[in-house]
Amino acid sequence: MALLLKTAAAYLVPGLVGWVLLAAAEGRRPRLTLWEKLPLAVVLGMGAVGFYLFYLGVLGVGFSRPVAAAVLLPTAAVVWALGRRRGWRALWAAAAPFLPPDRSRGRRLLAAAALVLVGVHAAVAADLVAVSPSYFDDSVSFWNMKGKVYFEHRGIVLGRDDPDLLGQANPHYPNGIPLFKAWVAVWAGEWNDKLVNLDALVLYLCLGALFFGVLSRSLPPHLGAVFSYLLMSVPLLAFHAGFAYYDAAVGLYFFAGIAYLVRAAVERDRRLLAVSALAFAAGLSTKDEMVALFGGSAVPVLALVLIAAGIAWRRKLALFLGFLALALLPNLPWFLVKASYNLQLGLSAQARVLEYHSQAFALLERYFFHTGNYNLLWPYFLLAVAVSVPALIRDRAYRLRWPALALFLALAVSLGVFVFTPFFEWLLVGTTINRAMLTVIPLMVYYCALAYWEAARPVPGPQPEPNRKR
Amino acid sequence: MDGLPPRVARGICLALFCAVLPASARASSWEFDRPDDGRAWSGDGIAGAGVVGGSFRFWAQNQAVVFLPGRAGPEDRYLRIRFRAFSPRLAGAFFQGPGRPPEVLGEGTAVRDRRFHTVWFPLPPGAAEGVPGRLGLFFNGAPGWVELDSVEIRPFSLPAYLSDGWREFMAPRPLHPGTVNSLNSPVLYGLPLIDWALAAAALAVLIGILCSIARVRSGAGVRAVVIRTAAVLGAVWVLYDLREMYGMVELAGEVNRQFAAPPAREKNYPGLGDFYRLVDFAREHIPRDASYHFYQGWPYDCRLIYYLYPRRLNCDTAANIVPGENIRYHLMYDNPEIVPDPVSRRLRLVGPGAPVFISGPGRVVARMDENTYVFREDDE
Repeated sequence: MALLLKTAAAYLVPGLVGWVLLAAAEGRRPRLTLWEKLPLAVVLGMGAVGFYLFYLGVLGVGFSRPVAAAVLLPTAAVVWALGRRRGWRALWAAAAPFLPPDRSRGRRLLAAAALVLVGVHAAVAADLVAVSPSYFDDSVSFWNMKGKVYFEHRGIVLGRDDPDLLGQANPHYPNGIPLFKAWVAVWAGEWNDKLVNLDALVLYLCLGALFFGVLSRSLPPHLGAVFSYLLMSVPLLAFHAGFAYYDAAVGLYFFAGIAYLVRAAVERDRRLLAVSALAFAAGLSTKDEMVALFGGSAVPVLALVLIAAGIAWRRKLALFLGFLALALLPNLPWFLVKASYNLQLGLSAQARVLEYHSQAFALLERYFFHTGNYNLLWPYFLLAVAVSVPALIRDRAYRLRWPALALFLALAVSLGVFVFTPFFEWLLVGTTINRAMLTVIPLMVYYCALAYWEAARPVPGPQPEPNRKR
Repeated sequence: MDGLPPRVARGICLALFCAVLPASARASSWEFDRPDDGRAWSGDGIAGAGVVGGSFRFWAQNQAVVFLPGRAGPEDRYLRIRFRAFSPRLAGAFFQGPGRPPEVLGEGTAVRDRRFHTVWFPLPPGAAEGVPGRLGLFFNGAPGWVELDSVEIRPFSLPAYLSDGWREFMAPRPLHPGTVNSLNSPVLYGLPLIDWALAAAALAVLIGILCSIARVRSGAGVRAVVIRTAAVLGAVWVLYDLREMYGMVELAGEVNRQFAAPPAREKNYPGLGDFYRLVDFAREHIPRDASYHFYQGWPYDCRLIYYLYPRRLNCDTAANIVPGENIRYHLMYDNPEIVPDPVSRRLRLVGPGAPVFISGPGRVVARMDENTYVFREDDE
């Protein structure tokens, strides 16, 4: 029982921290519904406590439960300041659901069926987390090994000659997930595989809830539920939820970042830009893939959004730099540590060579269309692209164009390394290509949902009033 | 099994092994119930062959071929094999007619699995009419054990074919250390389920397009067609997902049955066997601050580094006497190639010639089974 409470605290405290961060970003008027705010609070909080432990570790402060609990002090200070300035209600308020609940019995049944199917996937994943030790290579050699070393040392080893430097295994790898695992172990008082691997399941559930919350702004709730089910039932994604793999975590942060970037552009709401930047900040500490997606997709889209916005250039520059600062500054200490230890960032030096692999397309076709990794996601996605062309042409509000551009760039980045660099080797042996796709799949399903809805809806659906406040 | 391409290796393999093949006597099925049943079988790239527990078991090297000691009769149209591979293999069957290059009857990847799988290979007309020639099976891939449970050259039987196909389709997903990179799609009568689903979805889209064209010509809107087509596509997705869910539920059940439920001494994990028992055993008998030698590679070494940390693994293959090295513990895991030598009290590599010792004097301090133990060198 005590262990259960400690573990609950390990997940609730980050949720609280994330909630306060969101409240600070949202301002006086809540912008996010509970479906968005709860999962975002948890995943942003997980990132935030990872940063917190990293800063402490670099400063030589040992990890302990009181030290971990001390994260509540700055959180309380922010709560106090926000409460005084904006009113206490703004701290816990969430936006009302965008669309009213559906009264149609058939649609409610459809939503319920989707929920039941998601429930089965989540239950299987939960069972695997509960009974299975860490099993797959990256779980043991990357995330858990680093996390266990941090936990055993109660801190971060920075001695250059120490075999446990930066977590021993793959010291160049980002520390967000290992440090969150160490965080859970510090709260629990022991390194327990089941407790530290629970985060994969939590991230999976948060992805589904957030996806539903975001979709519910554009689609009727029953369709939001159906497309959330489609996302959560992508076989490889559901499989990873039970086995402590974190490619889908990148997908979650990337999706959140792009979704709020697009919403900020459509609603012209700079507060939502802050939410997007926070998602990217946390995402950049999960896996190196996020660096490529951030630089190759998010930043160009942000630049174009700002160029297209009818505001002064000085304002555009300020928003651009502010976004970059919010996303990058929390990660700056890690990048500085990487630079000072001469650790690899992104692709290895050998892989940074341009070479064209024409065989890649046949392999991609085989993996995407003829294996059990994606169900029928890829053919449905191609169909969605085809049916969305008319909607893209008439999309003056850029509700579809920005996600389309972000997705195109993300796919170009994710697939480009397999087609145009020696990273092709990993496509040939089939070890990373399918996992790499999990980083863009949430955005792909989001685009499918918008595209099919645009193609099928009879009249322009309910849309938010653009918020002209700046 | 689902298809995989490396035809070059396969071609070289078959050309090498099947250049001259004598015709053999007519025979139809092998159940391997008696020790003699494997005697007439020959092959290349195999070792340690024999009939064990009702199946013909052999150690297959990178490229292995076994020849069936019989050939097809006039009525025989199919080769049916039931087998399992303990290492990932590209497996298939071929027919070699006299003076002809080998003809591949079918192939696919066989994953590391504990279950027997049944595959039907259609025989070419030449083989079915009893033309002299020879049937064979090939297993290319990582070296490991292969077991043939039964082999039949037989006429087609619809009930048997349907029964085998359904059993294959409902087989639980294999779990092994590579599963996390790519999931298989269950095979339904020769095709992965995903291909059936793809065909159904393509058909739905085609019908939707035709209906839309017809409605546009008649001046009606296409929205209803779009919605119905989307509903059909959704239904195909759900049907595939139901099978996927079944596979995952079965997989979780297997982990529960083999790993969570049994007592500690009987725990096994799919794909890793009793490895987690080794972890508990080593934690008990190697002190937390000690270093230890370990002599095997993937998938065990990286896992031991994690599970036994802060104990430190030293993975120097099998030549560990380094002057000044103070690593007293040696962890042996199912390794019959290294044995404790009772005379010298040192660990010795098994092999011909002069003994090769890889440790200082010491003793086995704990034993999990015959070939799994902790050896500790004496203090100096």
